[in-house]
Formats: sequence, C-alpha cells, structure tokens
Amino acid sequence: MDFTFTPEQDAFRQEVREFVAREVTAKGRDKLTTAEQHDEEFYKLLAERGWIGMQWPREHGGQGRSHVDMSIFYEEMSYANAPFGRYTGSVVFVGESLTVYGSEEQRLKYLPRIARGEITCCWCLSEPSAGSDAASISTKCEEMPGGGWRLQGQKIFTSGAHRADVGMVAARTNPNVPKHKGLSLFLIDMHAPGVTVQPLWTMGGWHVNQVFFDGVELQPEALLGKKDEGWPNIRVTLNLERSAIGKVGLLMRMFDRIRAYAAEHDVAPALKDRLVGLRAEIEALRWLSYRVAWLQDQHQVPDALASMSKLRSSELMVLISDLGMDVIGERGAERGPDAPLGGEAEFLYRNTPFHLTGGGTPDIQRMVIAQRGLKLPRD
Amino acid sequence: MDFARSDEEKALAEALAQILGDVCSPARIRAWEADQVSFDDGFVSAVAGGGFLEAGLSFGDAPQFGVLAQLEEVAGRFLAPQLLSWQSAYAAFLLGDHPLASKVASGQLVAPLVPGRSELRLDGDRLSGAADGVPFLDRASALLIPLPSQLALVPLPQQWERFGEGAVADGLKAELVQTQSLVPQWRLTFDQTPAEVLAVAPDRSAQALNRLRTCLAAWATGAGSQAIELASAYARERVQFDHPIGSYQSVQNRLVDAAIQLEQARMLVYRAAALIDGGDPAAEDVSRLAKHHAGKAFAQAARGALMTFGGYGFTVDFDIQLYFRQAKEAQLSFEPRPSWELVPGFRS
Repeated sequence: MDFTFTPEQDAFRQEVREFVAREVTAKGRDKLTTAEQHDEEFYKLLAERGWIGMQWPREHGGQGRSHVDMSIFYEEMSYANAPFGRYTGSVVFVGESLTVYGSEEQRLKYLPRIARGEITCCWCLSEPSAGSDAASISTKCEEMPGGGWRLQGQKIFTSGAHRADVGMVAARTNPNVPKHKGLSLFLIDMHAPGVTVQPLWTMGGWHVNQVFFDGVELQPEALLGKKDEGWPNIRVTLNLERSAIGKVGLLMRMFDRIRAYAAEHDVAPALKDRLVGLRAEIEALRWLSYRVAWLQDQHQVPDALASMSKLRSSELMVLISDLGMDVIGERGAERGPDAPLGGEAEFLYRNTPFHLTGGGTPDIQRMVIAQRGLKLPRD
Repeated sequence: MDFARSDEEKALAEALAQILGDVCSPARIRAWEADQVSFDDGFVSAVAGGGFLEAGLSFGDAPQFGVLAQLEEVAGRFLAPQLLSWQSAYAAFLLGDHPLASKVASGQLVAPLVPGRSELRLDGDRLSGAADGVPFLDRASALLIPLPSQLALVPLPQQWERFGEGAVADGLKAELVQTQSLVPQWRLTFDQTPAEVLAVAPDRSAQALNRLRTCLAAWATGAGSQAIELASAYARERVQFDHPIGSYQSVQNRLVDAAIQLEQARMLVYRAAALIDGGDPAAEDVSRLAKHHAGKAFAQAARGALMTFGGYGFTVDFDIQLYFRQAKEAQLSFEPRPSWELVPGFRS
C-alpha cells in the first residue's frame, strides 16, 4: 500500500493550511455555535480559490481534482474548526450526487453556481415517520396532466434549509409498488411558492429545520434521475454523506488540544492513559477515510468501509469530548470561548448526538456493515 | 496514494495461505499444544522452504516490509507461530551479510528473546540475569539476545531436556511456563553464561523493534479477522427462533464493532509498514500504536466471535476457543500499553 501524497497534494495541503491560519478568525469560529454555523465572507474566499466543488470537472466549475484532494481540504478545514457549515450540504450531498446521477443539463445548471458560492443546497430526505427507514417516506410528487410535477409533504432534520437556494427532495411518485420502488428525486427552488421552512432548535445551540411542501409546482426538468428509480441514488448520496472525512480533522484537533492541556495541568494518570487508545484510533480512521476517498476515485462504492469510518469517528467524538471534559475537571462543563479549551470539549460533547445520528444512526451504520461487509443475513 | 494490493502480493499471500492450510491446520495446532512443542519440522521446513523466512530477512534492507506484514497477517489467520515476526526483527538486528543471517533465513536459528521481558547484564562475555516469555526454545539452536548496543549469542546444544526445569547449557536454566496461549513459553535464568557478543549498529535496534511491533500487529489483525469470519460463517448457518442468528442485531453488532476495530488495526499496520519502508522516523510512534491497537482489537474480536457460538464456543471441539486463548496473550506480549508520553500529538 502506498500512503504517500503526491508533491502537488502536499503543496495543496500547505496552501490550505496557510489559508486557514490566516483567514479563520476567532470571530468566524464563534459562528459555529450560532444558528448559521457558517461565515458568508469566509465561504466567498473559498469560492474565489475554486475550492468549492474542486473535485468536479472544469466544465462543471471545478478544478478536476480527486476525492483524496477534497479530503485533504476537508481535513485541514475541520482541523482549523473553520465555519463553512453549508459546504457539506451543497458540495457533498447535492453537488456530488449530481455528478453521479444528474443529467448533463442539470450539472451545467447547478454545479458552476455551487462552485462560485452563488447558491447553497440542502438534502431533504428524513420525514417525521421516515427516519432510519428512509424508504418509507410519504411526501408525494404527482405528475401533472399538462407536464410537470406537484409536491406535497413534510421533511424534518433538514440542515441548512433556512438558507438554501436549492433542495434535493426525495418523494414518492408511485404509491402502488413496494416502498423501495416508486421513489424519485427532485431538485427544487427553496424560494418557490408553497415551500415553508421552520427552525427545529437543537441543544447544540443551532437549528436544523422542518420543511413543508404545500402543492409546490415543479417543471418537468426538476426530476433528478429516473422516475420511480430513486432509491439506488438515495443510497449513493447516503454513502457520499458517510464518507466525508471532516470528523477526523476535528478529532485530530481535539486530541492535540487535550494532550497539550493534560501535559500542562495536574491530570490523573488514568485520564492521560485514555489518550493512547484515542490516538491510535484517530490515526487509523484518518487513513481509513483517505482509503474510502481513494476508492471513490477508483469509481468504487465502499459502503461498508464508509459506514465504518462514519460510525467510529462519531463514536470517537463522544469519547474524546468526554475525555476533554474529564481532563478539565470541575470546570469541564463551562460553556463559551473563555472556558478551558475554549469551550470546545463542552461544545463537542453537547453536539455528539448530531455527529452520531446525522447521515444515519449508529444502528443503521452497523446494519450496513453487517449486511454488506460481513454478509450477514437480513432475516 | 494507492491502497490496492498488487497481483504479486496477492499471489504471495495466497501461496503462504496454501502452505499454512497444510502444515498449520487446527488439528496440527492442537497436536502441538498437546505435545507442548512450539511447532514441528514440517511447519518450519515448509515456511522456510517456501522462501518466506528468507524473504523476511532480505526485507531487512529492501523497501518491501509491507509485503512481509501482509504475510504475517496471513499467518495470523492460521494462528501460525509468529516466526516471520521474530525472524524479521532479529534479522534486522544483523547486517545482511552477517554469517548468522543465512541461519536465520533457513530457520536453523530460531530463538527470540522478548525485548523488555528480560533483566540481563553482560560482564565481559558472560551473561547473568533472567528472561521471561521466551518462545520457540524447543526449536532453538541458539539464543539471540538484544542488548542496548549489542547482540549476545548463546549457542544451545542439539539435545537437551527441553521440558521441565533443568540446565540446558553451561550456566543456563530453562523452566517451561504454563500460559493461556497455545505456544509454550520459557523462563530462563542466566548465571555467568558464556556468550558471543556481536556489535550492532546503533539504529539497528530501533529498526528491529519497529518491525517486531508491526509484524506482531499484523499477525493479531489477521487472527482477529479470521475469528470474525469463523463467527460470521457460523451466524449465517446457525438457526434459532426460526432465523439465522446472524440476522439478529445483537449478534451482528458485536461482530461489526470488532470488525471496525480490526479494520482500524489494519490501517495502522500498513501505515507503520510504509513508514518503515520509507525510513521515516515516525515508524516508531505508529508501530507502537499499531501493536497496541491490534492487540486490543484481536482480544475484542476473539471474545465477540466466541460468544457468537454460544455454549459451543466454550468447548474445545470448536476452533474458536483457540483464537480466544491466543488473543489475550498476543495483546499482552511485548509493549502491551505504551505510556501516553510516548504518544505524540498530530501537529504538536
């Protein structure tokens, strides 16, 4: 196995690292704890450098880079705790999905605008009664006699919908077939009449959203992929979501900060010993994540490995934030930038349910690994 | 960046698997344990005859240590004695053209001493002190003993009372120690034991230990992976409550969690191997993490796999108990838990 990056990739990493050292300010980081989790000015700087959608072909607004390049970028950004909250929904969920199963017209219409930072996107999948069982969605999209579609239903846990310009919506287009069939995907204007977004506040201090579709009229070209054959594409998008390396960069950051704190303070040896196992696991996950990205560059769909990466990195979020608070001791639960470790351990601890459940709960990830990795039976 | 194995590497691993399937079957392992021997002539001649030990030796200077790690992962799947780990590590102590090197390659010189488990002092050419956890003594024609900047060689006679207490050489006593593992171990007592002292280049010791950690980690990763495969196969077949037990999430999750730990161990092993091949000083840190994590992962996998077999797992009739008993030993041997001070930050 070759773990080396090319000289170009090393130079790119250095470029991103210098960029975030210069541009990620304490003020920008503060936005991570707000409803936005996003800094508009910072996002524009990313767009100016062509780093939004860098892995897409040039004709689609990208730089023709690889998924490994994107992972390098992601790692550096998350290690710096950069406020680019709308990047994942726009680039990984919607943009990447378009490159896999969108039409050329749709790619040309949306990808360059995403890359220029002109629009951001959200992924509308979960519903009040269709969470882990995503194929049970009941939002309907009916084909109109004169052409076009009419969308009716409700979504929940939709990150970034309150600022998104484009939504990728999964809806039922045929109720008379088994639930995994009869699903379709649509690209909709989130500002269109009939679309209502309401905040759903989390204990993380920021909000996800509920999105209501009340007779939203769509043009025929809103259909993404083939009618009634959306489920395999939904799985592709879920796989993309799970393979994002961002969590590893944040884990590396937290490890370094906690280790430095432990070295300078009177910390119980038993707590310090917990650092050893975490260091090993984060190192391993870092390379597992690059392996997933590399497999994607080989046009493979490493679903079991992606689920392993997603599941364990989110579990390590729990372990490392817990350790961070334990190491701090009595002041461990203090919030805010003036708290020990800048309040980052506390903030991460409070947000671990998001990391665990976003992109599929731990139970779902284990099911994917069991069935597709270990080939264990469904029933 | 390339995470694929070459066709050549796959062929080499497959060749070793075929050999081990013959000479290291569960039946043979059980027989060795019953006879309290480390392995038999068939095993060592097949592995050495296949060129695998020689390959390990040549990797001392050639940039292909990652291949050796792959082979040791295969060996772990069969619970094969960790010859490649030890021979590779001890070969790394020696320069490639040292006269002992060919003996290591041919399997004639098999006698590792576990670093860190001995308290020995050298007075001139005499060794004194004690050593613990010594494997393969029954196959040894000599002992190779790593010292801070030297390697001591203690020849052993061809015939000696291998089992039980007793003197095995001039000034050397050996005691067979019963352990949970399948492989017999010895406790040695040196009392002014004559030794030949070999000079070792200063960086050789660190290189050898990096190789040893990485190979042992590869072995544990392979063993753990095989335990999970045995359990998964059983879970697909075994029916309870009208369904294969592998369809129940409580069974699946235990195996999945262990499989994740093993996949992480695999990444650490091959990352460490790549650093060794590249002569990168970070090899020491990562090999230490690999050994630590792979040992834990194997222990978790063996327990999770055994529980899949229910009560049958506790019986000696099922092979899974072989993995279970070996796992904890593998975890505890040689640097089981590095100090947190030896574990660096990512960027600080």
